[in-house]
Amino acid sequence: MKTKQITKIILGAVVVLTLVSCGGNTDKNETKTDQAALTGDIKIDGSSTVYPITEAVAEEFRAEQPGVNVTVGVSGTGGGFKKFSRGETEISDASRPIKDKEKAACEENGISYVELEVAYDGLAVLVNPANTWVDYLTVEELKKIWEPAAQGVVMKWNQIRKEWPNEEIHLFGPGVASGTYDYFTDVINGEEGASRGDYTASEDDNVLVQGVSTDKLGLAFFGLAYYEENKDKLKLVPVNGGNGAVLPTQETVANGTYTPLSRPIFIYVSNKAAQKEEVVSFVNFYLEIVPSISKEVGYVPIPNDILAKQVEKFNTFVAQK
Amino acid sequence: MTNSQKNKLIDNAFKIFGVACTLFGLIILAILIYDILKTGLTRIDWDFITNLPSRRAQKAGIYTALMGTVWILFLTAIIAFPIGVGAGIYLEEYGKKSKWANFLEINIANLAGVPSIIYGLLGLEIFVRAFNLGGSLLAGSLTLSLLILPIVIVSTREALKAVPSSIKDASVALGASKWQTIWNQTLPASVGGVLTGVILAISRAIGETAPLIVVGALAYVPFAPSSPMDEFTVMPIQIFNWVSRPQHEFAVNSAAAIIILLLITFMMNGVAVYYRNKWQKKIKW
Amino acid sequence: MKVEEKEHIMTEPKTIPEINKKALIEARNVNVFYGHFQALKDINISMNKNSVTAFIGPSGCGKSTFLRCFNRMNDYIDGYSIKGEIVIDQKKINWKNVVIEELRKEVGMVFQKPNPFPKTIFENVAYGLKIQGIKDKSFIEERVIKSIKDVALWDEVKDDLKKSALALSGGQQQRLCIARTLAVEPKIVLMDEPTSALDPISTASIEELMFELKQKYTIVIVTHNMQQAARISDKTAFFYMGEIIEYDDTKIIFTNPKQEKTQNYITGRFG
Repeated sequence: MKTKQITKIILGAVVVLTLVSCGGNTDKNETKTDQAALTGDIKIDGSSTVYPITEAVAEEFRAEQPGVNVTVGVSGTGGGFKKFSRGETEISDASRPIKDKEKAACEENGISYVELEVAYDGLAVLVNPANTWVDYLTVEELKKIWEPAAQGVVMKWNQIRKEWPNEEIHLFGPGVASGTYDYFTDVINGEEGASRGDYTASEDDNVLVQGVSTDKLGLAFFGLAYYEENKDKLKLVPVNGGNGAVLPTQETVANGTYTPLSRPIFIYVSNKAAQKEEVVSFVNFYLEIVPSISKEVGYVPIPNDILAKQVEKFNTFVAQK
Repeated sequence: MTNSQKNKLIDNAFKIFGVACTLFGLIILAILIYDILKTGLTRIDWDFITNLPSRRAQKAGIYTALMGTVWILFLTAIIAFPIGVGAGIYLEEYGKKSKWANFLEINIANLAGVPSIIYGLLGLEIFVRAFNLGGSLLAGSLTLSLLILPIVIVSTREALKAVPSSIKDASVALGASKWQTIWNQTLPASVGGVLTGVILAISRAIGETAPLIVVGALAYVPFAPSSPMDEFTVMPIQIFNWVSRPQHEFAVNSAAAIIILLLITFMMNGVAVYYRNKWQKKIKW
Repeated sequence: MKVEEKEHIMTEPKTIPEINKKALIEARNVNVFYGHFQALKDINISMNKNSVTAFIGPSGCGKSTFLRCFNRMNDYIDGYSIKGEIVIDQKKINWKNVVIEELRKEVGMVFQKPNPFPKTIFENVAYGLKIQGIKDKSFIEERVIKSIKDVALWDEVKDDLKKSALALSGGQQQRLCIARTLAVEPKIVLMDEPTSALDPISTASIEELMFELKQKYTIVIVTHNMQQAARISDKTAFFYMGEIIEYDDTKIIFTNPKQEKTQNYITGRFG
């Protein structure tokens, strides 16, 4: 008697599972354009910074070409390159350029690639809205605060400028696994990965927002997108990179005046991948819509002329095959 | 104060302490659940469950992540339980008491404490690369099976140990072989304990994210799995993904997804507890 | 209970029963060890078919150990070793190539504490048949009903065969365990203090049972209850410190024992 009941339940679960598995995604099966229907799998992996853009493009592409299965992973820029260099992925998302070691690994496996800039990511410096004394920060001042030598030494605001309050600085920033951390330390401290260790670290920028927005003495740096979403809780700090104090906006990041804290983010496409029709179609689509997508997910679109160069670069790469 | 008065005081103090400890855990859980429900409950509708992930929070759904979670739990269960229960039976009933057996016992218990990421790395090398399974559900479920195997083995052994030897004696005295005794008497009588191990193991598996990411679980997967060789994503990954987005609506999505995940966990545990109790009613030592 | 230290020397040689063809169970020069500890010393005894033999003696004297030799239940105890011969139905049972499961179909056992399986009453009694691979449902049903009737339990459970055996009272459970043993129709039934955990009424009904069972089975019973031994057994063996001090007709043991120790035990000088 009991066995029958259990069997019924298990059978029921299997039936439900099968039905729902078949259900779900049959509604998005018409191609929008007159393009020939493509099929295939495109594997993308890499940076979690680039992920939102790639995900958005993949989502839109699905409406165009529902027969192509695009999957995206978030193993990190480094992790993505590892898989890319072994030929396990077609496209790699990266929030920094490929390193020499990674280049060598690709060469070893006969993988050549093309590097395409797809958007800019602005790194904002933030303080609490109740912070009345910070009007701007120079790159030298940022370095003074964040360099390794500052650990345990630079602890108060008035150590940066005498007229600032004699109060503790509470620092918030990305952890060492983050590409943002890599980039910030590189351009501010002069060496990638070199930083003081005594600050509140988190890979999740939302945590940093939380930290600095509730601490009057807080100072943080994180992606511009997170400032945009939390404007009312944060105060943006202009950064003087040598040519006056500049606030990071869509314009200043795009035209390079907000410096040095704006960086390009990339996708890399392998030669093997470029031989596939569906990959070529996807990348072209990517470059086509990335300006509008970037804004939507909180990044800064690259200027049209630079974008055109990327398109040309890609077409040349494809033609080489 | 007399001795008995002192004892009574200690008695009461301990009782209050015990109640406080229990309440502490329950209250925190209640607060967390209330918070999650407040944030995410209204977001849950049929679309949320059947939509694919999207950059637009309103449109984003958990469909593929949910299917991935269900698939991986199912596959992990059918791999881990026969092996785990079988190993538990072997070690408890057949393993001779020797230095080797002791060594094995200590190591299996230790395995339960190994950080799950190690299993992820192991799974990557063995299942994904050496067995050439790629970043598939099968590789993921084999990895998770390794992870929960120690739990299943240890609780199976404990459950078997708890069966009184008088039952086994009666069985062999009637001429049953060792295997007949295990299959007909010991195992059915220990189902309660084994099911408890099931509950613990599944609860551990459902929340595991790190080893699955290492093995190749993805973040954006636009299709539900249709075979064990398909690529996949799971609920915890989707939740983590949404939680770290700047847009506030994604926080709501995360809360809603967490509610669904909790619901699955409670449902599974509920079914297991129900059957465990039913079985145990028949067995009153 | 402190044993009065009398001289260990026997006043008369022990009676050694003669090996005869009517014997169903025989022990010849049996010595049993648990590790270095010797539990049984030079045991020689033979028991006839369709008899009830009682083993009596103080705690720890080896009676239960000896009982378990007959169905080789001692095999599971660490450090157990046996020297000498146990012969059942003219066959030696301690050889390596004896199939233990076959032996136990011939020699059944009832334990001190009733140990029904956590299954239905019917399943309990049918279990012995099931493990022999018997599939014929009507045969099984017939045998189960017969066994339950044989132990005088039928009237009490005939409507409740599908109920859990654990719901029965202690006395009923023990009778069920006996029925379970009888269902496989063994030649010999070993009983290890079968009524020590039961109330007087259940005890009485089981003792009555044993009179009936004697017709078809050979019974060996270990008991602490001397009155019980006197009531139900044909022959009695008195064990002390691992040896059989005296083995004779029950009447003689209890009214006119030949050994002083026996006399002291049955008159309650030591327990």
